[in-house]
Amino acid sequence: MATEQLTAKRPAPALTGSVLNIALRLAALALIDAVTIWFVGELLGQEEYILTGFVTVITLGLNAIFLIDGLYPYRWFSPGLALLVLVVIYPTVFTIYIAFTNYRDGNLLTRAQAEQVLLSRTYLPPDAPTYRWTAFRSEDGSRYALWLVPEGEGEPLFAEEGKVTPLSALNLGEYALDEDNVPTTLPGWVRLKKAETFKLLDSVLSKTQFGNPQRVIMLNPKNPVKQAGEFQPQYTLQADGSLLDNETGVLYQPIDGTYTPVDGPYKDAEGRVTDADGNPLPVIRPGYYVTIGLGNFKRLLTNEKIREPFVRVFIWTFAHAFFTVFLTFWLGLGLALLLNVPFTPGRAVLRTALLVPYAIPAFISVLVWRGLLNEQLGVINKTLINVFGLEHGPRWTSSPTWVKIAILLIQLWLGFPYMMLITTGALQAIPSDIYEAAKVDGAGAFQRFRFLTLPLLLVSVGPLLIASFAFNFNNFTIVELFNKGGPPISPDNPAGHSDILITYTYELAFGSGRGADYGFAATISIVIFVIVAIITYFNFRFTQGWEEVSENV
Amino acid sequence: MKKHLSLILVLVMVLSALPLAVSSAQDDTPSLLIWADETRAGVIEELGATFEEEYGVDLVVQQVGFGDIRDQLRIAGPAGEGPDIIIGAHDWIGELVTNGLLAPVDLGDKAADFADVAIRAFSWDGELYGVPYAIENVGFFYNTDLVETPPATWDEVVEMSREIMDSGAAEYGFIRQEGDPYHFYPIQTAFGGYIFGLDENGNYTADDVGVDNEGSIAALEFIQGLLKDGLMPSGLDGGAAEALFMDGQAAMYITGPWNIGKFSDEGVPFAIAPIPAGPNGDPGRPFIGAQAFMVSAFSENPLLAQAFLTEFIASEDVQLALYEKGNRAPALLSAQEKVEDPYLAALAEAGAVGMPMPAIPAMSAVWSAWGDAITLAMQDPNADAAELAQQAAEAIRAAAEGE
Repeated sequence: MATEQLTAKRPAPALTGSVLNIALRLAALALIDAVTIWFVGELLGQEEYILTGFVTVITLGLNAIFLIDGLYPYRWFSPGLALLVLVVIYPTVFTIYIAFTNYRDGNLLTRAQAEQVLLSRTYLPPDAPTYRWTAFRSEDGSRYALWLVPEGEGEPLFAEEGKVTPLSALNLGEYALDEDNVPTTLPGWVRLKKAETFKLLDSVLSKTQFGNPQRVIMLNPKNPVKQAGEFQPQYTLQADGSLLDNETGVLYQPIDGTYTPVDGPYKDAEGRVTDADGNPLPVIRPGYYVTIGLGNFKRLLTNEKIREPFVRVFIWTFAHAFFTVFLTFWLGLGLALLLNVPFTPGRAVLRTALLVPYAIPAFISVLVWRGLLNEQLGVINKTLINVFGLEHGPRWTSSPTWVKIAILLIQLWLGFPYMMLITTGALQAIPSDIYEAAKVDGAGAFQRFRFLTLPLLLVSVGPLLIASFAFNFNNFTIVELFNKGGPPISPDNPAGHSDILITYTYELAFGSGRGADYGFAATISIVIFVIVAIITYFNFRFTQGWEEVSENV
Repeated sequence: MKKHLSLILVLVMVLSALPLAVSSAQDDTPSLLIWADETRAGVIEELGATFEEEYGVDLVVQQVGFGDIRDQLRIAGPAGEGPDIIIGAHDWIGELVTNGLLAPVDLGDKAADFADVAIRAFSWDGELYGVPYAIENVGFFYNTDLVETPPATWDEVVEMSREIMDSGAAEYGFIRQEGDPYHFYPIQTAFGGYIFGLDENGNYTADDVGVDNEGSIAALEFIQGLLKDGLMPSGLDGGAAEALFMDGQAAMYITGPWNIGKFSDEGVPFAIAPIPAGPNGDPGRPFIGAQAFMVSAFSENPLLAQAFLTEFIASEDVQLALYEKGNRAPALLSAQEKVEDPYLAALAEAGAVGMPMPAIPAMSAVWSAWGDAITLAMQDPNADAAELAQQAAEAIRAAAEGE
């Protein structure tokens, strides 16, 4: 009885209750910890330090919540907290981090990965012989050897681990060579069929050092089935992290993660490293990504080609979001008012029908509109041309002005049902007695709307309008799907006439012309975030005015 | 309480060690993971069974959307979760090689068994990065109800278009979509234009950009002329142009093998001819594209993957089976000879004068800047074609120099 009272009063501490209960709870916790430890091991192997940190923090947090009695209330929203950290805070931190790196095409790998790729490259020195090979396995199955038939001049060799024996030094006796110059059997060895060697290629044959130190023979990594030879590693890693090209003697130093030639046997007058013919040597790829400080921000601010369209794009982005909200709000409100009149016949049906555009995925609607607004074949232009006898209809996709009108039209179609929905709800929440009071005071219909309905409506709908504005500020789908930001401004301008910031960013970062540049894209998205944050802040300041209205009612 | 706690800590530790024990278990049959798109995954899986049996290895074919293969390789490859082998198009290799995602392949003497253009398409800096299995190019498709003998020159195209429209047999003669440097290239080359010149080794070089030469400008002006004379509708995108040809409302259209199946199913009476020649007799050269199997640089069985490519994909049976599914000409010459298809033969004829599509990094600037120039020239037939071409050329040169 006493214990029951205790548990009723205080939240259950972590280590009370039946032994089974505790064991189950802690087994679950142990399982989470086990998965985390395994996961962290994997992540560290891939050098994902930021994610490792977040996963560790989340798990430690979970342990604390479930083991420390004082943190009991957090148990109920621990899944939410964990997800918040993992899917909101982590990507934000990661985006900020990426903005300060040169993570882009050519520098996509980590240092270890780039070294792994480059150090695995081989070359064949000019005089080095190449061979056709046949594998042999010792009778006890513990060792492997290659029978090598030169592709050029020379006699066949038998290459074991640490030992090469030419045919003439082998006392083959009755073991004759077949037509390919390969002995059918060798004492102590079993000849393997080609098919049998396939599964040994990576596990055994590429890992065995055939031949002696003077003659290291390996399978050609680019053509392992057909060829073996005295291949040499292309690069040697130096103590300072640079790579020495063994073939040409050129030293490549990683500068901002890109292996750049800094020293070599040939140099031109300007001190650039060249090949034997005097052509400057290019960098070698792949490189790896490193932090480059404010480099991406500098590029955004100082590169005229990027900055110039930015202003133009910014104005249209703003106008697009504003007019979208403005037009959809008034159309939505108008319909809501109309359908709010009790004696409108069939208003339930109408209300439902008007929601249809909202119910169809924007993705599909935009494509349908793209077809309808096609300049030549679209129903709209065909009708306009036939009815009004025009030479051609509005150039919806090729005129800088019409394309903007077209996008606003589509936005209006897609957006008004939402505004109708929220204003209908808000209208019904306005008490009817204030209208009666206003009527008694002699206010007309317009005055009642202007001084009662609208201010009261905006109190509840205002924040939603701001949200809608912020959403349309970054409304990628409609602009990209309708005309890909086009029509183009000019061939040497990366922006198009209908590009908004987010589609322009996409074009800059991933679109054709530059390859993927994640670092730069992250930088622009931070800038967009700051802009949206500022707009939202001022919008909230502005809406505080409406709140005063509601307090006075 | 203390006792419980220590018991539990032990439990935590034991459970934590579990995954380590599980991961140390090993299997000695090596396996290859292949990423293939929906049209090819099935064939590879079917044919792969013989490879598995013969060589005692496991093949795992994962179906990944064609474009996703390229995008996901850059993430999954370095993370060690990627495939050993991918299917892809040759215009990916510039990007994939720059990012260190592909391992080079050496076909040795076997390279001569493949269409030369396919081998060139997959070569980068002197290395080959895949075993090609298909080549493709566009051709001059015409509606046989409306056009009896295909036009040999672009002048004839204009004449025929006029006749067809005057007679009312169809709404339009020759049509093409706006922009789209890929489909414009045959017209551009017929008038003497080009995109990149070749260096002494026969490789494309960004030092020589040809989109603002006389021929390229003449090609733009030719299209503008068709529009000005009302012989071609403006504002067409690829889908709309295709629909016009399919409905028999347009008589002539440049497209590729991917539409043969669709046109045949729709019962469009069509045939394929080489691209008409230009005013100076220059042939219209289509771009030749190629598709291949490539080895990931992060494969755990790189040699086995190479062996799969050279022993299996490079075989006639596999190349023919892939042709059956994909309707693109096999890249292996001996397989190509066995294919008897009038459409593919006609496309091969059109492609005989073709050029491999450049995969150099500056090519991506061509798609955007030159594409914009073509779009703008077609949107306003009175626009100055020379100025647009120059702006495009400058943008491409700037991109080639790294901005």
